[in-house]
Amino acid sequence: MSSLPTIQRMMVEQFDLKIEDLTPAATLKSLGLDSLSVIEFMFNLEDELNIKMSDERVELKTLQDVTDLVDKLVAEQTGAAK
Amino acid sequence: MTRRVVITGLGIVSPVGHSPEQFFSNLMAWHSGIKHLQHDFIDQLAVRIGAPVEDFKPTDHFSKIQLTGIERFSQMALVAAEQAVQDAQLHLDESEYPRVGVHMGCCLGGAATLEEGYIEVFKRDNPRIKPLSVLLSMNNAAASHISIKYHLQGANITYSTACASSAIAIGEAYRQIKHGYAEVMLAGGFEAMLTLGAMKAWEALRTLAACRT
Repeated sequence: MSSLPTIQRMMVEQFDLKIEDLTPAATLKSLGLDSLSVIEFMFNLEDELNIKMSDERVELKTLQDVTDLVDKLVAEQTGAAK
Repeated sequence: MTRRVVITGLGIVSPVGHSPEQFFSNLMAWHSGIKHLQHDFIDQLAVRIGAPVEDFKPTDHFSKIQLTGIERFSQMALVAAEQAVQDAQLHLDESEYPRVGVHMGCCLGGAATLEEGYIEVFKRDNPRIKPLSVLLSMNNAAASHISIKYHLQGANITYSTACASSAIAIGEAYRQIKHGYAEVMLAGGFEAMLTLGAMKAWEALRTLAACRT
């Protein structure tokens, strides 16, 4: 299952963004998010989904990029936990 | 060569008022801003009076995205700076940015963020520190936010000299202009230390006035 709905919900809650603006193609920059707010958001996502980001730098430009990364981590880490 | 220095704009967010006019009229009306504190940790304190900044709603001034990286003391500093900039009718063009600086005074900085971090590290099994903790809590955060907002590229210094911090900052800003290092300075101070840890520390030092009622 895609993590997109969770990401959208958390962005609405954390940043007061409008759900209709949170399309997969929307860029983080167009949503008004800078690198620092993205770091904080990813930290909260870790808590919400019980995943751990790697220390590697990953370029995240769009909401789809965030979704792809999170989906990959959920698949890897929930699989590893089993 | 030394030059004359003048103050052209004022701004304040404080327990006594949220603008220079309100601040001054409240002082003239004998309002100290000191009252019984209502914090949820109040039962842990022997001294339960203080001067909190009330009716300051961060979301009146900042978006939730901005608030991710701006601690309470920086929020109040930015609002006060905005008042001063407007009061001074300061309109800078790009060529002037390098000649305008920020001097601020602060002792404790982001006390709330620091305490939150300490609780996490020392009291939880798997501590999770917020990634922006340093940027939120460092003493010079507010001065940095001010310079970023107004594109100020002159000297940006935060003095930490106990209760003299803000006065030192204003005095040193005066010298920056007087001796020709800057054309304009934003100067002042900020603090937001009505937290449990800070209150307990001051209480332990026996420097807080107890309420006799």
